Order: sequence, then C-alpha cells, then structure tokens
Amino acid sequence: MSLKVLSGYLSTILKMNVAFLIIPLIYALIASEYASFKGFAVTAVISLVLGLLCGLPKQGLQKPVYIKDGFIVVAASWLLLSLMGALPFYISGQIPSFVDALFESTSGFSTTGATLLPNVESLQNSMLLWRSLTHWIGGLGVLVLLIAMVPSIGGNNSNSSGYNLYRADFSGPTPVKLVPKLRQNAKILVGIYLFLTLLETILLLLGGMPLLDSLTTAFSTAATGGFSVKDISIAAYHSSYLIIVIGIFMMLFGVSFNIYFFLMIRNIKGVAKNEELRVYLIIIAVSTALISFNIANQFEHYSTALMHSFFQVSSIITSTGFASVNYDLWPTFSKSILFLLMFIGACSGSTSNGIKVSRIIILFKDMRRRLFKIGHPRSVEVVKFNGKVMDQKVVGTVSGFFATYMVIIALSFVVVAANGFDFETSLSAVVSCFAGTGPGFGGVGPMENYSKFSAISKLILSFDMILGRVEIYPILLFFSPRTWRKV
Amino acid sequence: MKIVIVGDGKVGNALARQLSSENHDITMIDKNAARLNDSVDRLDIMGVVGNGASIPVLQEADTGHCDVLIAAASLDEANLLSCVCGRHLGVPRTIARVRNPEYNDQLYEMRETMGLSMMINPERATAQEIIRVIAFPAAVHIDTFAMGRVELVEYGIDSDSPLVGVSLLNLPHLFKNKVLICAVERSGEVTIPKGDFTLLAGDRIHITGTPKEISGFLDHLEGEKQHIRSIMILGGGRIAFYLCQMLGTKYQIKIIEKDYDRCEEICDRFPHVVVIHANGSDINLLESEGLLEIDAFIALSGMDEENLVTAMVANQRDVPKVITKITRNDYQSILENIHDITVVNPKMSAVNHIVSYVRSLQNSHGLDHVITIYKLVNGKAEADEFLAGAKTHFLGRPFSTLSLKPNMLVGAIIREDKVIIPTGNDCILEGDHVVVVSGSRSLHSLNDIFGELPS
Repeated sequence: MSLKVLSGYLSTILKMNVAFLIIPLIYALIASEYASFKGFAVTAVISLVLGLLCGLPKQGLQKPVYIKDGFIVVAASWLLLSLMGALPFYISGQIPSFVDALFESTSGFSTTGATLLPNVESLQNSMLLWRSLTHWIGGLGVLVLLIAMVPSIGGNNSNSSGYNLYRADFSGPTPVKLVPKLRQNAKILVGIYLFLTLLETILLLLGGMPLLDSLTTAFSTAATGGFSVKDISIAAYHSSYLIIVIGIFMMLFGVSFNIYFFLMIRNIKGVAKNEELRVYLIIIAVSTALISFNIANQFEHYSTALMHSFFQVSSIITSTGFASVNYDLWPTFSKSILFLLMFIGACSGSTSNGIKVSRIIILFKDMRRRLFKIGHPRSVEVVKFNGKVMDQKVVGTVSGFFATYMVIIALSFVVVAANGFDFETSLSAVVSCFAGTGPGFGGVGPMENYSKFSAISKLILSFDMILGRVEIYPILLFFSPRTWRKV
Repeated sequence: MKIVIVGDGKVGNALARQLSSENHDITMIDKNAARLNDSVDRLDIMGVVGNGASIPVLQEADTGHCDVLIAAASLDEANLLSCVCGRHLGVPRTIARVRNPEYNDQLYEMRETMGLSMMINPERATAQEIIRVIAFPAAVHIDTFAMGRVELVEYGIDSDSPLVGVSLLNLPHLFKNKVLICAVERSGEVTIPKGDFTLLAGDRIHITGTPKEISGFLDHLEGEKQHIRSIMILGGGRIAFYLCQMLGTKYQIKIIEKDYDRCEEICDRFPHVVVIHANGSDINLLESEGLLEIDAFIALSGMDEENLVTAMVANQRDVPKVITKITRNDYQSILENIHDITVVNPKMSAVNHIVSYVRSLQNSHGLDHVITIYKLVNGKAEADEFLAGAKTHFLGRPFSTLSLKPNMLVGAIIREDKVIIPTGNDCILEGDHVVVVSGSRSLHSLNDIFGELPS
C-alpha cells in the first residue's frame, strides 16, 4: 500500500485525537490540575504537529483503499492511538514508567479495562476522565467514528475505500450494512452509541452518583471497557440501584447495534428472529442462575446473590470487567463459568470483545455437522445462522479465527508464566487481556492490579489487548513482512 | 431517493454505479451472492441475496419504502413479477426491462394492468437509434432530449457543401428550417459559435432541432444523393429483428447469420429479407455478398471484436454508412478517432434512459436539475437537458435582456409538447426542459448560464 494513503489517514486520526484531548484539557484547566494540564497540552501539540506533518503529502485520502490497505490503516490507527494516549499519563508524571503508561493507554483504547494502578483514586480527576474517554473512543471503533465524522472518508465516493476500512474495523464474522450509504450507517451507529451513553449517565446521576463518576462509568460501560474511578470498582458505591442499572446497561451494550436499529424502524421480526440475541440472553440467564445458586450461602438474601451474579455475568460476558463484589472469593464452579464467559464474549456488531456469540453458534453447528459427516461421509448438510445458509467459506473463516485465537493465548501464556505467578493468575491475565475483560482471577482478580508483572509481560499483554480488540487479523497483517512486499 | 435494483448484471451494475454516485440510496437484489458481494465491496450500496421476484426478499430490501423499483434481471417474466410484487408492496414507480420481441405487441396492455411506470427494451431502443441514423445518413451521431422531441445531430461539412463560407447570421435566410448550430469542431477545437461565425469545409457541426426540421435541413443540404436503400446486417439477433420490423419493405435488407435455425426463423417472419447462412467474420464472404455496393453496413453480432473489425473493414472499403454495436465501454475508445463509424451500445442506452427517468422524478425543492447529459467531441463539450424549477433565476425574462455567459448556448426549450428553438424574445418558464450546450465546463444548474446585462 502507498505510504501516502496511510499517512493521510493517520493525519486524520491524530487530528481527531487532538479534538478529544481538548475535553480533559479544559477540565484540568477549570479544576486547576496543572500537572495533568501540562500532560494534555504537550500531547495535543505533539499530536497536532505530527498530524500536520502526516497530512503534508497531498491527496492521501482521495486514493482508493483496497482490502489489504483497510486492515493496515486499522492496525496502524490503533497502535498510534495507544502510543499517543500514553503520553498524558507519562508527561504529567502520574504514571512514571512509560511502559506502564502504554499499558494503561492500550487498555483504555482497546476497551479492556485492565489497570496496573494500585491506587486509582490518587490520579487527578481530569486524568481519570481521559482514562475513561479513551474507552469511549475505542468502543465503537476509531474508523467508524472517522467515517461518521469526516465526510472525505465515508463520503460520497462511489469506490470502496470507506467500506474496506469499515470491514477491517468491524467486530464479528461478517459486516452488516443497515442502510445503503456507508456514512449514514456509521452515523446511525454513533447516534445509538451516544444516546445510550447519555441515558446511562442520567440514570446514574439519578442514583446519586457524582457527575464525574457517572460520566466515566457510562463511558466505560458503553465501550464495555471497565475502567472505574474507584479502587474497588462498582463495589465502592454500596448501592443496589447503581449495580442493577450498570448491570443492565452492560448487557445492553453487548447486544448488536443492529438490533437497536431494527427497534428504531419498528422491525420487530428482525429482532425476534435474531438467533445471536436469543442465545446471548439464554447464556446470561443460565449462567446467572447457576452462579446465584452456587454463591447463595455467601449472602443473607438470595436476591442479593442473584443481583451480584447477574452483574458479574453481564460484566464478564460483555468483556467490561466491572466488579460489584470481590468475585475472586467465589467457589471454583462460579469462577470457571465466568472464565468461560470471558472466551464467549457478547454479540458481533456490539462494542464488546471476545470471540462473539455468533462465532460460537457457528462453531457448534459446524461441529455437529462434522460429527454427523463422519458416520455419513456422503451426507450434505448446511450450517444455518439466523435462518440463512452460511457460506462454507465463512464457516471456515470462523474455525480459522478460533484456532488463531487459541494459538495466541497459548504463546502469550508461556511468556507471562515466566513471571513465576501461579497458574490461575498467569492464564487468567492473558485471557482477560486478550478478551478485553480486564480483571481475571487470583493475582489479577477484581481487587488486584497488573503492576506486579515484568515490563516484557506488560508489553505482551498490551499487544494482546490490541490484537483482541481488532480481532487479530489487522495486527497480524500489519506485522507480516509479506504484506509490505510489492508483489 | 431510495431505489431498489433487481438483478446485478451489466445494466443493473451500471445503474447502481451511476445512481449511487448521484447520492441515491441503492439496494441491490441478486441471487448470486458472490457477484453481489463484489458489487457491495466496490460501490456504496446495500445488497440482499435472493430472488427479486419474491415478496419476502423484496421486503428484506425494504422495497415497501422505496421510491423506484428497477427490475433488470435477465428474465423478462421475472422482471414483470418483481414489478407486480413491488406495486403490491406500495412502490410508487416501477421500471421493468422487457426485451422479448414476442411481448412487443402487448407492451401497452402490460403497462396498464401491471401498473408499470416504464418498460425499457435495450434492443428495441437501439434499433430505434439505428433507424434515426439511417434516416439521416449524413449525421454521424444523434442524441435525443425530452423523449426524442429534440435531437442533437453531429454533421461533417464537405468542401462541396452549400454551408461552406456561410455566416451564421445568414443561415435563416438561406434555409427555411428552424435549426440551431450550437457547437462547431474545427481542427480538434470546439467553439460555441456566435452570429458572426463563418463555417468552413471540414468543420463538424452539432445541430439541435425537432427531428422533422433537422431532416428537412439535411435533405436540403444533401439532396437525394445520400438516401439509404440497401442495408447489410451482420448477426440476426434481437436488434436485427426489430430493425427488420421497423424498416419494413422500403429497404433492401440482407442479414448474415451463423445459426441455421435463427436464419429460418427470420426467413419465416420477414419474407422480404435476404438471409445468408454464413460466418460474418469472413471478409471475402462479405465482399462477395456485395459489401462494396451497399449503402449501409450494420454490425450487430454478439461479439464486440467481430463487430469492431468488420465495421473498420467496411469503413475502409468506403461503405457510405457504417454502424456497429459495441457493448464493452473500453472498446469504444478505439473508434474515437474514426468519425464516420456510428457506435451503438444497447446496455448503456438502457442505463441512460432509466437514469434520465429517475432524474426527472427528483424533487429538488424548486431548484432545477439535470435530466440528461451528453458528452460531445470526446468530452470537450457537453449538452445538458435541465428541468427548470420554481427557484430558477430569470424565469419569464426574455433572453435579449440577459447576458449569456461565454462559451454557452441555449439549444432548445421544450414546453409541454412544443419545441422552441430560442431567439432573443424567448424565455424560460417553470417546468420547461432546457437544452444547454456548453463548450468549457460542466454545468450544475441553469443559474450558471445567465447573468444580468452589464449596464
């Protein structure tokens, strides 16, 4: 791909970053948090200068973006944003080690929510706002935001540039268009995202949460991120109302945004026949029930057990990572269910990470078909999803994705295990970061943090977070030498 | 507007490309998932895989809320069924491609009973285009505006023509026909002529007027010498069939066709036509069948390459009129510099017809908008048909009180059924179709052509 095209897009990304930096910058100014202000201001200037430099080659955005280029632009955008996002933490001196700052920023943009701050509350408020804002920017996908906001990218060009970017940044097996025009599509998604975020903020305010906390918690929930402004996460508020509101909103953000569009245009049939939504809700219901029975004896009332088990299921399956209690103290049965939910993830086309329910459904159906085929080699059976026959190629892609997913977990696990922590800590750290959840079990449980790992492990985990967020392939393509060969 | 297109073939694809670039919301339905995916990847449109004649599939494409349904799949019957289902779902306007000659005599009845807004038959439209060229053999190229009420004809001036040395001011005195010379191409350069312009031998002029006036004008110039009597057609496909039907027995027609059964069919239907069962790409055969004596050669075989080569051979052997069908757009550039060969393209004619129709439906809030665009002289000039809206400037002001921007000319005004070749006393009214010829840049609006007179 031409470097001109890439730098054209990176220039736009950097300028967008500046626009977002202004928000905490103003907050820092008003709240007289000068260390943070310095961090934001210096980062904004660096971002702007780099953005203008990258924008120097003309016509970068007019050239067509082919399929491969789309993946490269997406990978480069996420890597660059994570790098830029680390600067305010580092420059303001609130996270003195650059690797640590990078980990925190990557965790933010990739909507993982894993933190290595032993004492979150010691950060200045504007920095806390920035931390949650990175979630919100990363939640829907940077490119979707760009397509919606910058006319020249998603604009009225009859070529496929916008679509190739959109496809590369889409989470799930196959991208879905709701309306013919791509830009309109992106605007609908951003609109739904904004509306739900705002709705949650208001509901949280009504529950007596302070404004900054409401806003940051809503950002974290919307992006299914998981950064909280409290050391012990949502448990700090001691409010059943807040736990239930956040629990429900996490679940809502794990639903494909297409469903909300269908509701908007009153296409109830489209909602009713959506197989992924059905399975997603069933998984939540069954897991909640199983865990609530398992932990019932830890609480006075069964209803409290039910509430906490629902909150935790909703938090883990959507890869958010909030905690209403220290679930690391729960019995192994409950913890193992939560561990499985980490892998599954929520619906494709939502803000959540993980493998996605649709892929799991297709994998199981394909497995059943293959089993039958062993006994009846000449049998013909198709894999149906949402009542439609899936193309064999797509089914194959899903199996391939699953295999790659497992290989990356295995390799990262070996590296992280070199830190010498127990099995539970090392494995759950890798899976949790890769699946975008944030906290894991044991040494990285909900009341713990990631500061105990070595620098190399932190870098590996950061890398896993981005891999998980972009669904592996863009990053792998970006670092594959074959991608950059001319022929 | 929201537009649903059924059938992702050449026509469907070209329509989607054009209409989506004009900012319409396009949803395309096709059974072939691979082809559809390819289109969705390339164009900013949405795709629905399935049978476009089934109501659930049409509903999935939200056809009930669209403004126009265009059925351009390969089967006529499927297209008609799509349109009927579309009407049932409440689509206000439906367009069907119907090309089987056997349905030709029931077009009106089908339109009425099925509530179609438009039926397009690319082959028949092409045959009509060819007939127009045969009627004015001196004209190389003919474009039409307002459903054929106004034509724009390209004509080359020979050294013995009565037009040589004539100044445009004198033209109305010499010829009684009401035509307007709106562009002149001289040694590769285009001029939009003014009254003091003098025509020279070798100029290629573009004339607007009604078909009757233009034919009178050309007859006057050419006398009877150029009237076509004998025609050789290569390939006996649908276009040839329509041509035979429309030309009737006034002309001597010879058709060369390789398929024996098809030969018999043509013999059966048109007894006056001479049918030769042979391979038309054989130049010797064409010569022995009288290529050197005929008045017109029309290459209509299914292969662009064959059409191209035989047309070039015929042109080289000085056949007075050569017409060839070329489907692939990239081949047309080969003939760009050979002025005497007329090229027809059934698929693109159909696409242009439909696009014009869709443009005329547009509700542009009182602003004017473009209906048809023709590129002249390899794109160096342009002839546009606009529909004047309520907010168009200078409505009702006579042209003599306005100043026309340079290199521009109003070629014709179509008011209801009347065609006006404008003079200083004419004006534009709301709802008029206005043909504007521009020598420099693309026009976006009728407001770009006039300014106040400098006082």
